Amino acid sequence: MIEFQNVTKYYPTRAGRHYILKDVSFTLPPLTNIGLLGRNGAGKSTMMRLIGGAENPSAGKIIKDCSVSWPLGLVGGFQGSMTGVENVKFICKIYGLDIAQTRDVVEYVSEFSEIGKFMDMPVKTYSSGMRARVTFGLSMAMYFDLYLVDELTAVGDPQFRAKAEKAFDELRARSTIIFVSHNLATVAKVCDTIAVLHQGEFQLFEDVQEGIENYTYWTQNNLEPPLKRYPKEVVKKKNSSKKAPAKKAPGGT
Amino acid sequence: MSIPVRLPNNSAWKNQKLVWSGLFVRECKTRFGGNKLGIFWALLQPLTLPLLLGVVFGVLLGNGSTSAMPYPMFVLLGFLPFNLFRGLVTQSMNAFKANQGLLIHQKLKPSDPIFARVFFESLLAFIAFSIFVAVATFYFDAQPSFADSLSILAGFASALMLGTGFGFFAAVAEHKNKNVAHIVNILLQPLLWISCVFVPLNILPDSQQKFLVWNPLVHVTEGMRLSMYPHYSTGDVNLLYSLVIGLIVFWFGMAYYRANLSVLYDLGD
Repeated sequence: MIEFQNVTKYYPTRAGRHYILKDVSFTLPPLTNIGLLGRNGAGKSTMMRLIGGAENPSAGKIIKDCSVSWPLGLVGGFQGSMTGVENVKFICKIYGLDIAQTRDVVEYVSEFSEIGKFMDMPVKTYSSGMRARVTFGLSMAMYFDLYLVDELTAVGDPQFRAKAEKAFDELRARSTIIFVSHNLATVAKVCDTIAVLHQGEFQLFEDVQEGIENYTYWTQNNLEPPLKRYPKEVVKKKNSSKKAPAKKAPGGT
Repeated sequence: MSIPVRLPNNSAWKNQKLVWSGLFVRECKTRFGGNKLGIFWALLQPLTLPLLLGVVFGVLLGNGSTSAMPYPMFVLLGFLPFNLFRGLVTQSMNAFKANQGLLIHQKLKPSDPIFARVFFESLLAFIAFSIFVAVATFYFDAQPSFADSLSILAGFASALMLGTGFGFFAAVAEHKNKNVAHIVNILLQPLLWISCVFVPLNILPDSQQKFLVWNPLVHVTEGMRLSMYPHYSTGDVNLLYSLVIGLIVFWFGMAYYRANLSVLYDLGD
């Protein structure tokens, strides 16, 4: 379980404080697939680092009693001059696995990724598809209560994609997922809860469509907090009828 | 097979130790290149130039200006701490770039790869110091004194803090602007010649000495010699000066790093 208690996060910049979160409180429902929406620069990555514990909030408290994965789906995760096996071993080590567990993980990842002898070659010689296979296999091999998934774009050949999709479904069933994507169609397909991060505000929507509609409405009109929710029929109508966005922010107060 | 494996719930300190030891092992693997002779080359390679210069000039000049110790020993005692400083700056500067991919693991802070490299460089310097000073002592019949071990330690500590502090500066600045790497590498060249690595301070004219003593590295190189050869005559050097400057530089380097953490995490999704 993850609980934010009056969390504020800002970065000092030349132009003053840049707020990512302003006095935000919520509890993440367990075993759900949460789609995290927000525009570029809204602070989705910062949010992930706060949840993962890489960064501390400027004020407030984050209570966490579950294990959190690294953000999957990013290109990174490995060190180029080490081999695939060395990288996997390194990551097992920093996550505190013992020798027997590490052996199991290496074996599993080699099998899952199907890249054969490339496992013993430096990662910088890999194609992006090969990298993705190894990273994905590794994240499958380790059990996290919560997986952060950052724009998991389909890579690799159709045969591997089918395998990855099946594995991802397994992941979704066994853990909480926080899914970041700008592709709203994918989010709607994968997630059953929506979290919107906009102008320092954070809101959770139990209804996916309602969440997406409100997110679109807020961001298209660049509304400022406090953000007011609309029932989905209303927002849908507003979104579809709006060609020239209204100057005054409706429902601002 | 027990896949997926459950992760142990370690304390923060245990995690930190795992990260540092993991990065240290990684550092050894990539630096020694899996070669059995790797450590030998890592130690010898930076020392070939000073050894050569030391022997050639030692033969050409005799021991005139550095009568307290043979010239090769003189060069060695100046070059080893200088090389530690230089290694720390350049290695720290490239630490982010070399480990960028790993930084998505939230157990790693951006400073962790730097600290792993600092530890690695320091260890390498310590081994180099032990071996080369021992060899030089026997080969050149140099008879250094280790009575003032506190001063020797202070010399290395100064180089360590100066190098780490500037290393953090360089690493963060390089991350913001790629030209910094070139500038730092250019600046490090003349630094070798104004740090009294090859020339003793007191044979230089007073007008030059006045400026050189501002350089804390002069106090490190000359201070090291003085602490191992109490009869060595040098200018107005004090290891306390380099230690204090080292502390200040280290503190500012860390402060600069902290102030730029959001940039290092690549703020802005």
